[in-house]
Amino acid sequence: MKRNKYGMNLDEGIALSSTEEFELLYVESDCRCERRLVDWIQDEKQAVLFGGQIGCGKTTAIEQAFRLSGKSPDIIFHFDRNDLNLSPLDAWIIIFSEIVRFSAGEYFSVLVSNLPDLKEIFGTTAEELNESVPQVLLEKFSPAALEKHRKFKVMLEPLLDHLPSLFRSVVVAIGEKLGRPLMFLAAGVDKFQPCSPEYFGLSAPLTALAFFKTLFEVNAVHLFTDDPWTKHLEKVVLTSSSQQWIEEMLSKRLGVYAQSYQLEIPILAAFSGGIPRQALRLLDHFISQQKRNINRKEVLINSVESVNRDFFSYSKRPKYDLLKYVSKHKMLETSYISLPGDAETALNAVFGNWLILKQQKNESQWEAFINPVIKNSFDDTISDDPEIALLKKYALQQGMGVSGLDINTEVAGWQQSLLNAIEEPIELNVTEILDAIASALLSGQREDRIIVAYENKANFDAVHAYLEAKSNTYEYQVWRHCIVEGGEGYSPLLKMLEILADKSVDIYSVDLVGDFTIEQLAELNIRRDTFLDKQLIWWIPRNNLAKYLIHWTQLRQLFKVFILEDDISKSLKVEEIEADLKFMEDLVESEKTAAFSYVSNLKKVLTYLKEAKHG
Amino acid sequence: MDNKIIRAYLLQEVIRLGFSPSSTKDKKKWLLQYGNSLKLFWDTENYPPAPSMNGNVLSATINSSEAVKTLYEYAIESADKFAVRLIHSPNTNLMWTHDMDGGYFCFPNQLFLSMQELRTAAIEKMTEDDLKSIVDTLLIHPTPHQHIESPIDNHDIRIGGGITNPFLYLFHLRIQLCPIPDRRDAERGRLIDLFDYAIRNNTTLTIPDLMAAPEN
Repeated sequence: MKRNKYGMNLDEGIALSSTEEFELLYVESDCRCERRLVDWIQDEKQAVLFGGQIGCGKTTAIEQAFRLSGKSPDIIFHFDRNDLNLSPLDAWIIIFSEIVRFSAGEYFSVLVSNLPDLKEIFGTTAEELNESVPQVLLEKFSPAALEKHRKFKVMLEPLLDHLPSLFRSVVVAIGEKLGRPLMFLAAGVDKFQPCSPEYFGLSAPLTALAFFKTLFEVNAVHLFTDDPWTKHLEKVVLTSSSQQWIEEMLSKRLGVYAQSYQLEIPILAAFSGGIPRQALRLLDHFISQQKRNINRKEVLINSVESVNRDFFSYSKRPKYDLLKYVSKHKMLETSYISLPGDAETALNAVFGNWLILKQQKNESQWEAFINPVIKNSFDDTISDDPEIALLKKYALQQGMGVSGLDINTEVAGWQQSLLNAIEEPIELNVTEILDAIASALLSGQREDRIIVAYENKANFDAVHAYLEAKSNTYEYQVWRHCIVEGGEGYSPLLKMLEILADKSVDIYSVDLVGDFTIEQLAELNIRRDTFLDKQLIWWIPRNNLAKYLIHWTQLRQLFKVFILEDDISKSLKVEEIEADLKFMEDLVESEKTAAFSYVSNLKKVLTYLKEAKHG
Repeated sequence: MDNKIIRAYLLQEVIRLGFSPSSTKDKKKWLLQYGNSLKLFWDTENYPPAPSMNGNVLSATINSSEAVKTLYEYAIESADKFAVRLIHSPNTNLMWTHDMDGGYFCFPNQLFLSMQELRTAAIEKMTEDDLKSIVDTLLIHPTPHQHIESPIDNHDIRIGGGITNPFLYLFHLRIQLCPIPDRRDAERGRLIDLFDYAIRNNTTLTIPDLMAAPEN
């Protein structure tokens, strides 16, 4: 990710990875676990679980521990990136493909002696192996890749029961040849909620990995669920950070502007609950909303509400009683997490960051507190108000948390506002929306992801052309517009991956049409990281948006959502478009330039507006 | 030769080389590249909106960085008729408008200097200090200037008074509203080198060269 050396570095809480990012933005951890990981990397042979709540900085901590130790994992298994529903077979495909990638030089013979058919899929030369692995893992999307992926699946399926022992033989044999045990990183296990089918699919591969020196990146809940594969493993916990640490991190993110926000930084840090990603989201909202409102107190409140809405409005809420208990006693009994049928309470509360774990008190008790951005929603007095009770009931019926639906029930027509609340994440008029989207698209270095929900299909082409024009004001940016269909008989994720495989594109504009099934939405959701470094605009019919967002618990954190009203022609003025065109028209010197794209797209908008005006 | 005479010629040279695009197309190119340069120079997140042209008037709105909290709108009708409105951001209160009305008399510097026919001699005798003085006078520390006291209290911002050239006015705002002190200093050095080379070698200055950011 491109970073500013002097200015602000705002993002949604993406893990640091490059040397530049660490030098510029890293703040030394105030938790001993990072040092513990370094010791583990350098000296130990057993597997270890490294867990923390969503957004607490696990991936950055792991990266830093490897940097400090001067070592790298021999193999990284990205379980959150490679397959869709993660059946046991899918997880094994990831494992064996990565082993092939690692073995591409001298150890491939070890693999072949155990699985002779590997040669047919991956080839034999180093060149063939290096080309085949990304194909089998669908990192490089093509019909040939799909075919190889399918063939490998067919090959492994009859061997499913024997794959753990095969894996062990191969790893031991490679280790003997290498003269040392292999070290693995099992990344992305934290994305899988215990009790889910996907997590179940991972259990056999994780059990096999646990026999070797493996660092498992897990969610805090995995530390307490007592799964068979985690028994006997050391558990290292990354807890929430201190107020002071968060303040330092926010100051670094603000760069030379930190001094201007010295009064707000401690407040934002307090509302972060010690979760770095939440702190960054608060800062991001604060800075962007401040552009429209000079009253910093109001902006702070709005920022908290925005983060509340981003994280919790659509997530399954834990039981009120549990939150009330934690609020009063500042403590959580973690053994509740492993109770069967507890999905609505402790597990949910910790997995979804409704509760934040602070410090272990004893074997099963943790100091805990309610996430500050939702705390007000659990005020006892609120529950006595009959209208609020009705509000909560509605939210529950819709499968939503009540905290994001902060509606003023004193105002007439609040019920309609309630219905609208889930559909109006950002309140702007159409001109402001278009300006906001266009400014986000103005630079090729940006990595903005935007959802535009539209009601009137007739406006679609004009808005699209307008945004494409504006994105080409100063830099030539290549757009690719595609349709991805959802519903029975379609494979939207595969189509999406095919589109994103085209690296010559700067801005991917994707029209999501049809009714996506829950499974299809979940597939996109679980591939959150695939979209991290892309400039995306997704176009979604307004009627479908709320339904989709409910299932995009991870994805929706990446996107800004805008709702277009239906009458664009009232917002975009013919005179203004003509003035823009008049400026740029004689600067067009050739095709495939910013000026050419700007002018040709604005002409389309002008045509649309003139037709709309004259019927 | 009195160094005031040398500097008088240099001042006109700098304005001619950097801030006097002639055709409408050149003016548009200058303004487009000006907008383009601000993102990098000020280290802001976004580019400003593109300029537009209404009748004969070239205009755009430029948002400064978050730290400076100013936006300005310029409207240029001709080389001696333009206005720049400075607005406090984000509350959008207008602070003032710098208005140049060419319908009134303006002292004809260039005419008097041309009559003296001392340009060649002045350039031969110019020193680095002469050029530093001119870059400071026009851009870095405009001789007559205002400080904004409220609502923005920043003594390092000096808004030049009496500037009659629209492009010079815009370019000096690029420097004065830059939120990074080190970059302002580096830009001073870069501009001195740039104009020094162009004047001594009697070459033109390209817009991308003028709008480049200093290395720091």
